[in-house]
Amino acid sequence: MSDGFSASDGIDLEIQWQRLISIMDEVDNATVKTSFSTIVGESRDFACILVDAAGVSLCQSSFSPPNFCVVLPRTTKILLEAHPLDTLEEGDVLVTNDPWFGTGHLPDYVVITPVFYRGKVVAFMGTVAHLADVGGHPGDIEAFDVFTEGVRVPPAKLYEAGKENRLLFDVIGGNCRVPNLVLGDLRAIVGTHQVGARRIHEFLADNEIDDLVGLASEIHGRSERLMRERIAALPDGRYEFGLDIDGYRRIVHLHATVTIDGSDVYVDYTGTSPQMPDAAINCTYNTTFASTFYPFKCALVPTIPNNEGLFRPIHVSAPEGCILNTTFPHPVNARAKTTNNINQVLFGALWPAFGEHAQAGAGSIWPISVSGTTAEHGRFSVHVLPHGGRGAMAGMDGLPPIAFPHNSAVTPVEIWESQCPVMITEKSLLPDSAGAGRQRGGLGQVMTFKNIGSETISARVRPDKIFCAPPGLAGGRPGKTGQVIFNGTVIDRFPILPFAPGDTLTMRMPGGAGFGDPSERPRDAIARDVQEGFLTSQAADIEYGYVHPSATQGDA
Amino acid sequence: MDPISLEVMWQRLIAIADEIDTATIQTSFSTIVGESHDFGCVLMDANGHGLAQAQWSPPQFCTMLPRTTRVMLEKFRPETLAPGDVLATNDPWIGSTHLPDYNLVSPVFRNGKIVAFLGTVAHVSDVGGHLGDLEATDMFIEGTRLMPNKFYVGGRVNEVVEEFIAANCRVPDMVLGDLHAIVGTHRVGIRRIQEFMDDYDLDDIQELSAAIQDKSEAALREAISALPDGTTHYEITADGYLEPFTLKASVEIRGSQLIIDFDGTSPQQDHSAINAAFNISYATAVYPIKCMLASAIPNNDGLVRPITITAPEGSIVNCTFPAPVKARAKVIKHIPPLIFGAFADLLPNEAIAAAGGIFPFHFVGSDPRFGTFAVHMLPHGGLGATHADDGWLPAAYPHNSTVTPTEIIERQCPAIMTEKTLLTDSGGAGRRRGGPGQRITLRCTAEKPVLLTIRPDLLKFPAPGLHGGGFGLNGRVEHNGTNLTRFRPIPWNPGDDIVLTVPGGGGYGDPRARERERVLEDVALGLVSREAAETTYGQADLPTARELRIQAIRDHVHTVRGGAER
Repeated sequence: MSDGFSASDGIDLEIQWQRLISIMDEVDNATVKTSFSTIVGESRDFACILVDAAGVSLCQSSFSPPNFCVVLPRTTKILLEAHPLDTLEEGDVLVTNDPWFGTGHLPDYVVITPVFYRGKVVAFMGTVAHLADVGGHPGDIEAFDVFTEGVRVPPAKLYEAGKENRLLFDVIGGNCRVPNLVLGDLRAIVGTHQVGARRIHEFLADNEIDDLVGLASEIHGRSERLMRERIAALPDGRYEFGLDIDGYRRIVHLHATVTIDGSDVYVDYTGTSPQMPDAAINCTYNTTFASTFYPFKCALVPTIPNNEGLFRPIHVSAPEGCILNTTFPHPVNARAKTTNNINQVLFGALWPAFGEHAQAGAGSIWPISVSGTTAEHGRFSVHVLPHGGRGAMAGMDGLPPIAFPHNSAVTPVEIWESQCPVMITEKSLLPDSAGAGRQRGGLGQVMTFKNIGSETISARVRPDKIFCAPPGLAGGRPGKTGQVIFNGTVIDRFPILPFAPGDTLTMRMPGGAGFGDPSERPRDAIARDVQEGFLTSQAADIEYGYVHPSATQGDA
Repeated sequence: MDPISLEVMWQRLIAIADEIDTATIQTSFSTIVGESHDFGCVLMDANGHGLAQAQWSPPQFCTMLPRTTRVMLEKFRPETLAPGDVLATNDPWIGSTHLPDYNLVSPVFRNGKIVAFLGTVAHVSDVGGHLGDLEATDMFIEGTRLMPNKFYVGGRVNEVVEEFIAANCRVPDMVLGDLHAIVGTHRVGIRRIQEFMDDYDLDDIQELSAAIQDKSEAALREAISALPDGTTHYEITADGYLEPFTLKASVEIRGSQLIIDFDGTSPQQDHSAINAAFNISYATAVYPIKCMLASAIPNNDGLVRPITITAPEGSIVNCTFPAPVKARAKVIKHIPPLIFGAFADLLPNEAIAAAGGIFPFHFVGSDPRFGTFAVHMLPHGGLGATHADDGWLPAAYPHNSTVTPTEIIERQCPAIMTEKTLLTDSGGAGRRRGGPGQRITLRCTAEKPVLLTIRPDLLKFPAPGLHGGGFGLNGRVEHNGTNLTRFRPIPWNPGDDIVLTVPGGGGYGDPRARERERVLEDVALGLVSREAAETTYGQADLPTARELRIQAIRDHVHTVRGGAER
């Protein structure tokens, strides 16, 4: 324990901790205000994290996606191996987008700036941001290696003592389709780090401390202790669950063995399918670790701000070469197809221990984008990120379509239609798509897109759970699988589609799975679902053995 | 400078370039550089003008590299360079127009001053990007672009550049091995230039450079002046990919100047990687001129001075960033026949009819017997006829490359070549017949599917003849009996066949003017059918097949005896 921090004083700790978080919120705001691309500025696909001098994360901005925050400190440590602390100068900025060092796919750049105070590094400002383009093929899922997917920047100095590394700016800009957006975002991020560094200086001066060592140790120590208490409260034992997921071209099996041993948790993925040589759904260890940590954080310490102390009791292993610990240079761009299902394997294993915090399988995200050039709209590339229904929990029915397990915004229909010659002719909840249960799943939805222009454009869709349904928990039924229908034909391969005038593409997104035995669902809840049109009377009969009064009357 | 001294010193510069070339082969890591010889070495003066090239170097590289060097010197001014610096780029619009070609340029210092530059352009094994070839929508799909940069700074490797290149290719050892080897060959060249200048007690090579370029320029201008002033036009339509394209050239002779304009040529294509950036169109258009008018003069930049070439921006021979460019050979191989066609009346003895071209072929996969393999084969069609000679049997043209032997292919990957044969009536008819095409049949003996990439040409538009000569046979690609028209990588399953019909070359002159004995010889060899001999070549009373065979044996015996007696 060093320099003027009184460990006993919980009030001081809370004030200082919250001030650090608000510094990162300011960095976050500055990023939104100064970024060039919509993916950073509007879709908020970035995170700002404060890392201590040892490369351990202290806090993050409030809006940051949780996975980024778990990965960034790991990346920082790797960057510091390539560029050790004692070689750094004021004004240096480190960067990489290597999937095995960073967040698992190329578009995510990790940018780290050392914060100097009185001649030594006291912290790092870190940002992970999904940039607008990294070159590579426009395909998504169909790839044979990471080289197909774009340009890879090995750990390097983006700025040297405050000066732009011209070489790096040249090659990053020279290998992407929208260099103004990408380089603009990178410069903006570096600017926000300067704002953050100034605030850290003020923080240190105000608190009359020379560094963050004492505070960091307090934050980490207390967070770790709490996480350990919560884990220790769970019954010791071995919990195991296996889940088939869609994969791509071939079904993939995820298998988790979770051992709770005192205040430690060991998650092992032995038994999981091998990595795919021809589909970009492989996960590097970093992403697997982050997606594994997330359900524990949500279930056990939802109110504690994210920091690395919380990670310490969680130990994750996955055999090298399995789809959750892929080896270089396997393709990784669409790893979310796999990582989105990790929480469901863990909930499958741990629901007896997690109780009301466990969530049944969700309908997943179904990204769709269209791009092309037309006289009316110019050059466009528009995407929307609709979801299926959420899974049920012990205390509540699943939510209707909403982002999970990450945060993302859904582009409004009006915005979409003003930006491209594609009309959304239908967007409605899908009756009977939810998995039955004491608590039922959230309904899935159907969306239909029609090319009303006069030229052929490109469409790209990445569905999930069209083969393997979202799994139920505690006797709850699975949600209904989804379907992609292109001009009346169900399709199951998803390279870029030529989308001709008059073509229609329908996405029937899965419903969430149920929780608990359907026979325990209250009759009035079933009646309400039938009344609202969420459930047809036939399905009510089949799934719940419930005959709606109106149906009987109709027969009579 | 007297002609004898000039010749001696000039040849010495070429010998230095040849030594760099040899050193490149000896020290390179990849087969594409070391064995396929897909690289060029050029010695340039202090202003970046080409003075001498290695004799094996492909001609286009040597025309492009000085242009690339001068662009790099705009960014890295000569006065800011130091001994041991090496500039590098693979930018298609600055370099040799597709990403795999890396350009490395080293300044040569003497007494603190740059006296020359050494340059190498080499096709490296991999630059990342997709595994496809023809089907692409922009350059970003095709791999990684290194903007002009210092690969070495003062004799030390620039680690950021090295790591960047390594991180973005599938075989970093091979690619960096080749690039470092090239830097080493430049050091050899720099020593040789120093020795040369010591021997002749020179402080610079400005006078020699001026003499080489001025004399070459004067010789070419003299040859151009001998032609009548005027403008000729020619055009060729070729397959392209998905849609055909037309190349149009107008060639104007104005005194000692030659002006080529590609106006009217088709626009660049957004969905196929056949677009040519201007550098290579320029270099490929210069090549036939050099062959026709200055064939005995070693390549140098004096020879380009009398030639002006323009092409509309956005055309398929002057494509704009970031059009896909990987397979630009599909377009530029039609430039030599285009220029020869334009000169067919002016220089009937020098012009060459169109050739059957190249069908690059590539297997990738893994198999218990062969491990992970990636095998290339570059079969060609027949060459075009000239005023004097029939077109050659299948051989590389208009560039140099070697044909991987059948035995090597069968040893390296699970394929058997069940057929490799010349095709009857495939050479364009003419007083001089086009070279025959060939058929190659391969059968997959793998245990699991192999990925097969093929880039054919002349499937729809065959090689045209000159002066009444006929078209060569069209190409064709059949997969298990189905005729293919799209050429994405093909999954080639165990037991599958692929049949390549590689086209024939165009003929020259009226077939009815062909000498009877030449026709009969062709019939005896099976290059021309009896029907074609009668209908196309107008020969009557053909000897029987048996008589032709006997005659052929007699001719053979005669030739052998004649040889022995000499």
